[in-house]
Amino acid sequence: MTHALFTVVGVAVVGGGLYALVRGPASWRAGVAVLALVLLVSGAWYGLVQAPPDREMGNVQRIMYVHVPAQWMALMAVTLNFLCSVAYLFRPSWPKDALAEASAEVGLFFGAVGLVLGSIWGKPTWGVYWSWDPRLTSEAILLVAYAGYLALRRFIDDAERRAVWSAVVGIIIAVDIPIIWFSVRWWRSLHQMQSSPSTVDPDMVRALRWNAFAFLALWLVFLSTRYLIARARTEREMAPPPMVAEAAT
Amino acid sequence: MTPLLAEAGRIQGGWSYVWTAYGLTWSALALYALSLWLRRPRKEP
Repeated sequence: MTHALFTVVGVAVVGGGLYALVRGPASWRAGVAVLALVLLVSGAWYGLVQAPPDREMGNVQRIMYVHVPAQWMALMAVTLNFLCSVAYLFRPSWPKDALAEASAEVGLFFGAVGLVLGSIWGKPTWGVYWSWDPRLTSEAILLVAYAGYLALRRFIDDAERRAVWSAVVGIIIAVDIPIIWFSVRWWRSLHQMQSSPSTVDPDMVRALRWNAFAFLALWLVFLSTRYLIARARTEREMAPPPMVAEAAT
Repeated sequence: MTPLLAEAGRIQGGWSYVWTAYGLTWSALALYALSLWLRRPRKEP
């Protein structure tokens, strides 16, 4: 019950924050970016200095404080892309399409960062940078799929057709999201399962949360800015040619 | 034998991997922020 309430409140706060950043002046986004920078510096101090080394992985485990938040942001963004895609097909609107485009790019960015960080972490712990492990493979498939999704959007000139096709592709790609999350439970994976704060040193939990909030603030700034870029392009596409506009006035 | 091989059950060293990871993270975040800044919508004159 508490967990469900926390999730609902969290979604409402993040959604409200995103709405405010999209609707508000640029100074609001700049303010959240400064907040993110402060959180990021503090998170680095907690992660690199304050948190103790892991019992088995030693200092290498400190990569977790940036790897995990990056993957969380990626999964949040691609889930948002799925929701926008479904919503667009039920009731088409340009803001939904723009948010779908923005979330795909932001998800691809954070996912790629998370994957590279995981690879760097893998070398000293697993002995290799890459393994065709279910978690890594399903994540790689997701990133390739979203790169294709963004390429598809560039190739289609007609805005309405682009929105419909990309919504369909976004829904198909989303099948991979639960596979990524549950892959460590469904198969014998080299990647560890999700941890619980109750089994982790409080200093480690603090470092992870501090970095997670820093990444969340950046996620909001990136997503709102990218949304505005997508909206501006759609408005340019939808604007009547200059001669028609002049004749109408 | 690599210097990171487990001794007494714990991986030794590894700070170079940690600094590389954090450096890459900060660089990637800065570069993406810059790319969004360059693409930001501007009012036409």
